[in-house]
Amino acid sequence: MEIKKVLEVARLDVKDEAKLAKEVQNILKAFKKISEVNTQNVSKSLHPLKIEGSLRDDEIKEGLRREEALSLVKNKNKEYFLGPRLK
Amino acid sequence: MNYFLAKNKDVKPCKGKLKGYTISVKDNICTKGLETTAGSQILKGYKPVFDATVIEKIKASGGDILAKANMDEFGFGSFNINTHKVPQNPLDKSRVTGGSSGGSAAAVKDLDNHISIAESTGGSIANPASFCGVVGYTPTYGLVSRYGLIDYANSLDKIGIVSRKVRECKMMMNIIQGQDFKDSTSIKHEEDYEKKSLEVKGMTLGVPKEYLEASKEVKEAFEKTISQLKSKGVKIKSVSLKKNANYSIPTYYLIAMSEASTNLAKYSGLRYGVEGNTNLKYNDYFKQVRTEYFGDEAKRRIVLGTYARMAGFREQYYDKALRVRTLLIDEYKEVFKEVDAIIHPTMPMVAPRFEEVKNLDPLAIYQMDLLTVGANLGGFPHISIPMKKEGLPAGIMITGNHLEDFKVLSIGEHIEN
Repeated sequence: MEIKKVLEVARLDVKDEAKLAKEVQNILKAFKKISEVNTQNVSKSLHPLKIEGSLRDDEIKEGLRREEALSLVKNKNKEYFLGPRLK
Repeated sequence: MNYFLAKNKDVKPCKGKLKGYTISVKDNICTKGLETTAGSQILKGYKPVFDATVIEKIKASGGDILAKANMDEFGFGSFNINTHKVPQNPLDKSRVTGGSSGGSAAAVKDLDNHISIAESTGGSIANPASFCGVVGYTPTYGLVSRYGLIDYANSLDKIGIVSRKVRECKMMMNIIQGQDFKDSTSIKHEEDYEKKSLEVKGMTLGVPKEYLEASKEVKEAFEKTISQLKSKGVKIKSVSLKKNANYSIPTYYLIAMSEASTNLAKYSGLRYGVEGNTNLKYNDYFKQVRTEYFGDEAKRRIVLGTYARMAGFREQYYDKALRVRTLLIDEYKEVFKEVDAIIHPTMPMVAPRFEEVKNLDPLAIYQMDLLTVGANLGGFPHISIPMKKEGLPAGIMITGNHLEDFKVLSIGEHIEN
């Protein structure tokens, strides 16, 4: 497994890449045990039981106000959160 | 003993049904104006501008929140040692509280008239309840709204209750249950949990033969409880959960880690929690914040979950686990055709000492969750009740079929008495 690639996708760095790679490899090797199970014609369980989606009427309600959302950060201007520059 | 994180300085005494109680809530449940970090440094300083649905309901019933209960970072752990401020077991400070809802269980053990709202993904309520000698109840998936819960794994997370007595779980369940339009996975099902418990005489309880490997003291306490149940007219039947015993750990962890790795993508140093340095290059900004503030176990799970979902590996890990999950749920359902509920020890041992767990390999720790993950993977209601009367405590876990929460609570109340 290319640990570097996974870390890059996850936007992470770790102190000891080799140690993490070894741990991850051991864990995945043990988890591979599920390949023994015959799952032909078995459907996936995305949830543990059948969920009948709870839908609400399409009514306009007040959501989170801009000033409330912005109150949580220092990196902001009057209207927006500030993040890193694209270039 | 470090069981609380943020404390509410302006807490009001509880009124109405909750009069005389204090209430804490696991730190991954949002409380308006009260710091909520899910035990993670990446959310340090985050004071939500809203209450989770369960908190709204508690406040509407006259309750108020005393403090946030300690936990493993984002719920990632079985001993509550994956946090910056490790809680100690009130019964023996050299021992762990269990996890991930360790703060909830320790607070309930230590404080009189205290109820804690906790959360379980793979056993995070039952496990610390067993180690601290209190009651830990996890409802059927979807019975309690998850709105305002900081997700670990959406298809597995359940908000539940830790208390000293089953009747307190029943009272709190009446307050927090109910479908919520803010949580599309919540279920339309309500009942009165405070009504008189069902008679256990004549019930059949299944003991899975694969779930009996435990320390001598836990085994003895379990056998004693079984004979007491028999003397009260309960039929005990040996059943098998062989597939769960063999495959529930990898299935659970693959699903949980895959969901966690997508959920944790949103912690990026923007909008809430700690903020990054806006002078850094685009990708470095996110990488710096996540590298500095996520703990080791969070990083490990993000890496494992990211890998299990990557193109080329997804079918053999994540998708496969979702299919195996179907078979594991079916196995429980088959057993429930023959028995009213399933019982076994909650954890195979009493609370270990810190020195016994600090150097354990991550895989060895995951494997200790065997007795609790099956019920959680299937979203089945379960409760842990203290069963060991001498020495350090240990719990007995009662698991019922979907929506048979009242039956599970009834059996729990009977064992408690």
